Amino acid sequence: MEIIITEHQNCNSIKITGRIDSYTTPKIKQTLQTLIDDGHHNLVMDLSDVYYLSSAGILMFVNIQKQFLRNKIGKIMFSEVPDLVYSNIKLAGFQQLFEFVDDTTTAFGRF
Amino acid sequence: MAKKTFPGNFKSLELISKFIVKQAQKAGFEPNDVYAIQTAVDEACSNIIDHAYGGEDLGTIIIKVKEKENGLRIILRDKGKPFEPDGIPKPNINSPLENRKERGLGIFFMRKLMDKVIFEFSEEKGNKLTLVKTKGSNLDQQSRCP
Repeated sequence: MEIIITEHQNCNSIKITGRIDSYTTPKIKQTLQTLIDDGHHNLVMDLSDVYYLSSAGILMFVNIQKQFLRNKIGKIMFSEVPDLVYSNIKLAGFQQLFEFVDDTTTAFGRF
Repeated sequence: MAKKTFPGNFKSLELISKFIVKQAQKAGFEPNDVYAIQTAVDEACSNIIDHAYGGEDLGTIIIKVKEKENGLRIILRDKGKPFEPDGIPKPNINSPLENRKERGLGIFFMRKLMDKVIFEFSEEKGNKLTLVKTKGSNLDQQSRCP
């Protein structure tokens, strides 16, 4: 699993490559929490190269999004989510908690 | 039949997925069913490490995959604490998001994605989880993609 963070004018895009499961989720969570602690609250998760997302990964994103909602600052948006990866988010019933866009640059205008 | 033993740690999950995906593809499942089987087994193994063993590297996970008529039967064994799925509340995916209790999502996935999910325990052999998937059985799941 690889994480590449790119800082943009009004947000950060985070491209994850590989699996998001119980092994990789703690590392991703730590990376995102460091970004948030540094004052970055607008996060675009580029999942185009993620080929598996488990319930642990979904709940990590859900908990961060809930934290943003409670604090009334920031949000997670998802871009380029593969259909099968999206299917597990939908199966868990969390699709309405997030905005999904087809490409990462579209997300930049949504903050 | 294919059989493999994996160390009970989260690093094993990727190798377990590779093993399961290969078996499901060999059995002729469609990609969405292969992903469903991969998800169910990954969630089951995460639960074994988290709940049956209560931590990493405290035991092994033995996985047997048998081709059955028009599908697969996957048996997972561990020597951890007896797993009692009835004690875990089902997530209510229709409740307001702020109130949702998230425990039990892994078992919810297994039950939604597989045709049979059977938990058994014996003092001698430990936990046995049987997961069965039949080809083309889950129309609901086929329409899960956006």
